[in-house]
Amino acid sequence: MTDKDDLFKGIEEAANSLFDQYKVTKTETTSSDTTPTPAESPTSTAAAPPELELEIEEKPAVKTTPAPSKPKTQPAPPKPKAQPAPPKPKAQPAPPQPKIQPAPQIPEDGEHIFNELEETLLTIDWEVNQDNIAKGRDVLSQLIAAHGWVTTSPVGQVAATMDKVLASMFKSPENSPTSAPSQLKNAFLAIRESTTGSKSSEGSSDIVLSTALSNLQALLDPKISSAGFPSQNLSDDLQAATPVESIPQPVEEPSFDLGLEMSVEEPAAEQAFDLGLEMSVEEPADELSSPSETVADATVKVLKSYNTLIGKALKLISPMENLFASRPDMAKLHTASKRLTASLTSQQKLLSGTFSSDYSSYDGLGTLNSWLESQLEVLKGCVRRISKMEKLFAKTAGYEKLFTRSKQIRQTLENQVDAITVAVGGTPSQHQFDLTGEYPAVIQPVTPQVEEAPAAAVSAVASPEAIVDQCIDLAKAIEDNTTDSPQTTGLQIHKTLVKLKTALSGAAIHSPGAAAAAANAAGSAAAHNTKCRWDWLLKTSWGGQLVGIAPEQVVFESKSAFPANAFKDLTFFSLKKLKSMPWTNLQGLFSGELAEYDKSALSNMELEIARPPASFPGSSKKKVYMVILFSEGSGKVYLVDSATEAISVAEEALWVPGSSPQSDIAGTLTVYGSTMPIVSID
Amino acid sequence: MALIDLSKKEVHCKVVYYGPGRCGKTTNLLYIHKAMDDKDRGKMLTIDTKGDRTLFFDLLPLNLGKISGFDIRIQLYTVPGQVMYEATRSLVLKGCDGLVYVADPLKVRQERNIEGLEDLRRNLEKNHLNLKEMPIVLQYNKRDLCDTPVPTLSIEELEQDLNSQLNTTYFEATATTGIGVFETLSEITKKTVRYVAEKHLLTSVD
Repeated sequence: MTDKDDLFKGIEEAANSLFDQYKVTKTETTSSDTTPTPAESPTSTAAAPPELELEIEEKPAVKTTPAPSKPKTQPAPPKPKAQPAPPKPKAQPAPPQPKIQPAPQIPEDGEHIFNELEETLLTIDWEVNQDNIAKGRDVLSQLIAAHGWVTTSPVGQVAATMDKVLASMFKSPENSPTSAPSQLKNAFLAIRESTTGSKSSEGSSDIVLSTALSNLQALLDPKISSAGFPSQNLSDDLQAATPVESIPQPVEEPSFDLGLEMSVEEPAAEQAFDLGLEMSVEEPADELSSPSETVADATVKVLKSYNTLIGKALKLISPMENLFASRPDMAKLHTASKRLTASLTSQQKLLSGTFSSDYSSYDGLGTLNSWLESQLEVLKGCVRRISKMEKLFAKTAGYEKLFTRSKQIRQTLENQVDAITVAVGGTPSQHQFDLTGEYPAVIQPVTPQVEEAPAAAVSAVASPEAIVDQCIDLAKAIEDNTTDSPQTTGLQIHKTLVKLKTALSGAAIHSPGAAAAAANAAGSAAAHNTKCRWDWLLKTSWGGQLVGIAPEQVVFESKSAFPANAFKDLTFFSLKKLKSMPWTNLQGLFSGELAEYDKSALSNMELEIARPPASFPGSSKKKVYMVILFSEGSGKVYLVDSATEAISVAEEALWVPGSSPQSDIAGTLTVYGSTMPIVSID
Repeated sequence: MALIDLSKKEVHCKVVYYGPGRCGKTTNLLYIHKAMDDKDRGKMLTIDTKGDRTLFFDLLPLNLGKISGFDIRIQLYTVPGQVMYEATRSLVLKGCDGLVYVADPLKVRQERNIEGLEDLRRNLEKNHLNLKEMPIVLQYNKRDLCDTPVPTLSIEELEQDLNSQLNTTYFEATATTGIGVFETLSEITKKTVRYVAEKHLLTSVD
C-alpha cells in the first residue's frame, strides 16, 4: 500500500470490472467537464438488464429496457401513474384512463376538481405534511359538494372514508400508514372511474369501489378514527358511519396492493429481516392486516362449498343406509353409516343454524367459531379417553412404550385444545407449565384430610383384575378398529394381559405400582391422604432422586450461573447474586409472592439453600438448576439436577403425607408407576 | 468513517444515497440488487412498509474484490426522503464515506431538491463531516420523464441549483430501467475508496 498510483489504478480497475458488466446502454449521459464520465464510454452489457418488478406501473418501463443487441436510446415513457404526475394535471392525460369520455353526470367544474384532487393527492404522496393533507381535504369536500354525494351511494362512502383517512393523517402525519397516499390515489381513481362510467359494467365499478373502500378502512386506525377528528369540510351525512354492507365486498386482494408489495418482496424473500429491524419500525398495525372483510368472504366461500358437499354426501349415503338396513348381514355397516349420517347431519345443522338458507346473512367468522368450538368438544373427549388409557398403561408393567406414545398423543391433543381455546376467545387450560412462573392461581385448595383405613391406599386404585379386564377390552377394541401394526400391537396387548390375569389370579401382589404404593403406605399406615392436593406438579431430579415440586411455590427457576461446587459451603444464597448485570432489575426475575417485594428488599434478601435428604442417592451433576420456592414470607433455594417438567396428577395417584412437618418433603406420591417425594415449604 | 480491519485486511466503506422523497433512492438499490450476481453482493436489507416509501433505511452490501491485498466492501444505504424523518437521515449519515445525491427532475420538486441538499449539508455537519470534503456524485434521476409532457428541469437548471458549488460529477439516470445506475455507483465507489484509502490507509501505512 505504499504506491499510491498503483492503489488508485487498482481501485479503478476493480470498480470498472465489477460494475461495467451491469451498465445499461445509455446514450445521453453527460458529466461535468472536470471528470470523465464512465458512462460516456461504450457500455458493455454482458447481461440483459433485470426485469425490475418494482411496481405494477413500472412494468411497461421495464419491458422497454434495451437489450444488449438492440439498444434503445430512450425507454418508453412510463404511465403517469408510475411516476409523480405533473403539478398541473389539467395539461396531462389522466393516468388511469387516457380514453375517458366525459360522463354526463359530472358537473362542469367536476372535472376540474377531479384534476385538482389528483394533483393534491400526488403532492401528499411526495410529502405527507399537514398543509398538503389539509389542502386535500378541502378539495375533497369541494368534490363531494359539487357532485352531491351522500353516504347511501357507494361513491359517497368511498369519498367519506377518504376524508376520514386524511383526517387521521392530518392528526398525526408522522404515524400515517406508509401506503396511505397510494391507497388514497387508488380510491380517487375508483371514484373517478365510477363517476365517469368508463367501466364496462356497473358491477365491476362496484367491485373497484368496494375494494378501495375496504383498503381505506384498513388504513384507519380505530383509535384515531374513534377519537373523532373533526371533519369540518364534510356534510353531516358524510360524517356518519358508512355501512360497508351496502356495497359488494372485494373477493380478493386488490391488485394495486399486490403491486406495491412487490416492490419490497424480493429482499423479503431473502429473509433480509432476520436482523429484527422489522420490529424497530413502528408500522401501524392496521396496515399489516388484510381487510377483515376479505377474510370473512373467503371463509364464507369455503363454508358454503363445504355445506354443499355435506348435502351431496348425505344424498349419497341415504340409499346406501337403506340398503344396509334391509340386509341383516350388513348390520355393522348400517350402524356405521347411521353414525356417519348423524355426524354429517349435525354438521349441516350447525351450518344452517349459523347462516340463513340464502347465505345473505351468513356470518363466516361466527360459523368458524362454532365449528372450532365443536372441534374443541371432540378433542376434549379424545383427551379424556386417552388419559384413561394412559393411566392404565402407566400402571401396568411392560406398557412403558404405549404409555409414552399415548402421553405424546395426549399432549399433542391438549396443545391443540389450547390453541383452539385461544382461537375462540377462551383461556388455555392449566395443565401446561407456565415458563414465566405466572401461575393463574394456586392449583388446588388443600383437600380435607380423609381418614381411611390403610387398605384404602391400595383400594384407591381400581382392582387389578378390573384394570386388566379393561385393558383386555381396550386391546380388543384396538384389534377390531385398527389395521396393520396397531392391530398387531393390540393383539400383543391382549395376549399379555390374558397371561397377566392368569398370573394375578393367585398372586398376592397385584401390580408393580400397587406393590410400591402398598410398601410406602405400610410405613405410614396410621393416617394418610388418598387424594393428592395438587392437580399437577413440577417433576425434576434433586440429589439424584426424582422429586415433585409444589408449583404454586416456585417463584424462580433458571439454570444456575454458578457450578454446583460453588454452593458446597454455602448455607444461604443472596438473591442479588442473580443479577447478571449491575442494572438487572431483580423484581423482574421473580414471580409470585417474591415479585411483590421491592428492589432493595430483594437485594438484601438471603434464602437458605436446601440440602437433599441423606436418603437421596446424591447427584454428580456439575451444572445445576436453581429453583426458588417462596411462600408466606419464607423461601428456600433448591439446586436441582435438571429443569422442571410439568406433570399432571392422575386421580388414582397414591398420596402419602410426610411424617415430619419440619421436613421439606410434604409427602410421597405414586403416579404413573413412579414414586416420588414432593417438595413443599409450607 | 470506514471500518478497516487490518487483521482480516478488510475495508468497509459506507455510501449513502440521499435525496428528497420519491426521488428514486430505493429504486437505485433495488436495481443494483436485482442486477448483480449473488457473489458480488449481499442480501438487501429493507423494511417492508407495505408501501413504497422508506421509513428507516435500506442497506445493500457489495463486494468490490481485492485491491492491494485488501478486501473492499461497499455498503450502500438509503435514507428516508420525507422531511419528517430528519433524525433518521442524520443517523444513517453517521460514518458515511461517500454520497450519492439523487435529484428529482420534476419542476415541482425543484425547491425540494435544493432543500434536500441543504438538509444533507446540515446533517453532515451534525456528524462532523463536511460536504465539500466528502466524495459525492449527483444523479439526476427520472430522465425518462423528459420525453413526456410532464414539466421537468433541464440539466442546466439542475446543475445551477445543485452543482454550482459542489462542481462534482453528475449522471442522468432512469433508475427503474437501470440507465445510469451503475455509472453512478461505479463513480462513487471509486471516489469513496480513494477517499478512504487516502484518509485512513495511506496515512496510517506511511
